[in-house]
Amino acid sequence: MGGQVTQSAELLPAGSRPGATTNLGFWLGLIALVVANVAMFVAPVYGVPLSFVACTIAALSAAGGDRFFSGAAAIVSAGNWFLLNSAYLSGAVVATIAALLFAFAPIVVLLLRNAGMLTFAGIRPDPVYPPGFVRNPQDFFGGVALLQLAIFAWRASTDLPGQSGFAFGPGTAPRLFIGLLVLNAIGIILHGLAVIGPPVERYAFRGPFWVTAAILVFAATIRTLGLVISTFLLVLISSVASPEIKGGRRWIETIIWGAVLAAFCAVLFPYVLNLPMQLWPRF
Amino acid sequence: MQDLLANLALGFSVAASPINLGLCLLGAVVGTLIGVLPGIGPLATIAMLLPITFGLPPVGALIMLAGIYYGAMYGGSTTSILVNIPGESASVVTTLDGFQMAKQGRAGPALAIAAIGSFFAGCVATVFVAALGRPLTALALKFGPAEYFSLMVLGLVFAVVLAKGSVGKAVAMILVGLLLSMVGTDIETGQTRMAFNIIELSDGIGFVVLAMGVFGFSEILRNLEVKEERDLVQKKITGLMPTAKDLKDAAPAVARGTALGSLLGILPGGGTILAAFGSYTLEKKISKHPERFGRGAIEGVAGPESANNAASQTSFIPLLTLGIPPNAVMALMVGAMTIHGIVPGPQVMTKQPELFWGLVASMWLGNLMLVIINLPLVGLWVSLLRVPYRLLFPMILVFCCIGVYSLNNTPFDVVITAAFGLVGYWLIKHDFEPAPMLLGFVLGPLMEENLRRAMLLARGDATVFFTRPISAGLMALSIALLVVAVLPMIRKRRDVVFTE
Repeated sequence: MGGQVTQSAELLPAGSRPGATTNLGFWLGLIALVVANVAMFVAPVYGVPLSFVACTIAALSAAGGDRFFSGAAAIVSAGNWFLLNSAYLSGAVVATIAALLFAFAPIVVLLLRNAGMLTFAGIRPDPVYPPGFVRNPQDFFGGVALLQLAIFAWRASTDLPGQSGFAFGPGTAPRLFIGLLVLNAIGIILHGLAVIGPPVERYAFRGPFWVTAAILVFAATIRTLGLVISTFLLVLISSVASPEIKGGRRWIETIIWGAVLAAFCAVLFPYVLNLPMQLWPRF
Repeated sequence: MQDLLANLALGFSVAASPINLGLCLLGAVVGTLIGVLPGIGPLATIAMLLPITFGLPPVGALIMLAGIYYGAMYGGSTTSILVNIPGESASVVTTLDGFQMAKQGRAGPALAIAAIGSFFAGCVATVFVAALGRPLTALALKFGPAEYFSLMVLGLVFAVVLAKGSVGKAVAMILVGLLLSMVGTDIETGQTRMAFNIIELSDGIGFVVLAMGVFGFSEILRNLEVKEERDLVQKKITGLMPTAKDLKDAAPAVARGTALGSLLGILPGGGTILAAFGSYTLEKKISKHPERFGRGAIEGVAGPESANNAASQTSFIPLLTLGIPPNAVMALMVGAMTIHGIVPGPQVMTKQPELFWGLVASMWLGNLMLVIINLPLVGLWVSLLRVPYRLLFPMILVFCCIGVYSLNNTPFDVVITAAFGLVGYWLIKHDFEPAPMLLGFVLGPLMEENLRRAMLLARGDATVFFTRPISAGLMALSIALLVVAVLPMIRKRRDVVFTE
């Protein structure tokens, strides 16, 4: 499992690595997130290069031991490219794909580092993350994420007209709730700085990755390959997520189970429940 | 009274038709079947089984859903007693004494008393719903937009107060839910909001999509992470029926639990949890031997189970009379009703009496079904509990994925659900509760509509919520509740109740 490898590499007690208490990753990550947000609000001509800058800083901060901001900056940049796609990059498919790939760079760095594969000279993750003044990491990062969501929603609703006379416009209620969310998020961040709380539990990699991959494969194949094959693939791929199926064990059982479920669904949904669904690939 | 009987008679004539009876039975069986699988609460069960009702006529679909609901609730109690895994927060209490009873080889009586207590509670609560339905509907017709808005604020405040953990985080979750509900086309102006030019999003985010992602998928992600330890009671279950002494001990607890649950269930915002916890505390307080609690006291199963079931039934009242879902499960019911073209609210009772009373009658029938099917089928449920998780979770995924896909036949919905699954996983890691978000999501459009109307009618004067008497009362209650919840003294006690 991914979790086991990472723990040995990172959870060394503070001070056991000399000279690594600068929390460079944390601050670089914060800068990356701020840049990514600025990029959302400036004109596309500046926004596109700024997003690239944000992703670069985020990748560096991920290498430096950050576990939150780099990922957030990457997601915001990807979202920003999505927003721009219609306005500025429209039609530029290659540019969009390149940009999205670039946005995933910090996340890849993060994963590589977690897997212990990123130990090149000079760069070493900070042993302590987050820095000591963040007393309740759960609340602090939770609050930052909410604030980020509010900013993103604000950006997405800038084009909506507001109040006219007594009547609410389509943008009024969203902005009202965004405002409340901002206040709330700031409160949670301050609480996270003030009151001691539990650390954030480690994220698992294996489970979320394979389950999500399986669902996405299902979504991609249900139209073209039909219910039977996509269900079978869903069972097969998602089973990898279970720690009990590690290393090729029980694969015969998994294949049989996939076939059974596929057959069951092929009878249940189209015939018993009368939901129209395509069963086999269309040629 | 005459009216009540006539209405109930109408209800039973609808619900007791062979087809509807069969649907109710089928719903209860399937609901228990899924609900008994460890790690699946009633919400996930209903979300997963929603698609199977699509092909039915509205009345039949709702009756089946009600059956699924009760089945899922009972399934949760079964896992609480047999494996110490509560299906939802309300049945946490059942694990305390239920699992101990099972360890002592008395799983049979524990399951039986849970079913019998629930049935009794169901009988009382059905009458309660029927009796309160009409007066509350009359009240609802007096409600203007301002009152509706204030009532929904009150409901959300209740959800905040009753949520586990920090009040601030629960409020944040509600706001996120409200914002998510704004995605899509604005009802009044037809303008697309926050949809990022994605055509599929212009209809808004589907309710089932959100619920399935946050409750179904993320639950799987979390379960995969913890080392599986199912403490399944290995002793053979002998002697299903409780002894006369058991019944004598349990009867007063059932009665008290029913009364408490029926009242608390009407409260918006998660009355079932409060009812179950309240009943357990009450039983422990008034018992002559409080030290028996936590060591297999039958009152500790009977009281909370009855309270839980009574509350889950009376929580239909705000939904059916006012059109406001008081908790996340009822929010899912709204989603189901909307799919069938029914707008829940006061007009359901007047315009579609057969639907309203049929549903009320089917509540009672659903409870009866549970007693009939569950006691003989305990052995089957136990063997289901032995299915290892590595086989279970792909099956859940398959049903969730096909279910979501079948909503609109778009793969895009499945992708969004996967994204919400990851979001839900993140929320769990940061100790945010997703249930208030779901409630905010469902109430969002209703709240916005009523807020807009009220402000327009008052010519932009926001004090209208505090000058109209009913609205002012509701608002005052909300503010008082919030203040009380934030006060440090009460907060400590609240934490104690939730950790106990």
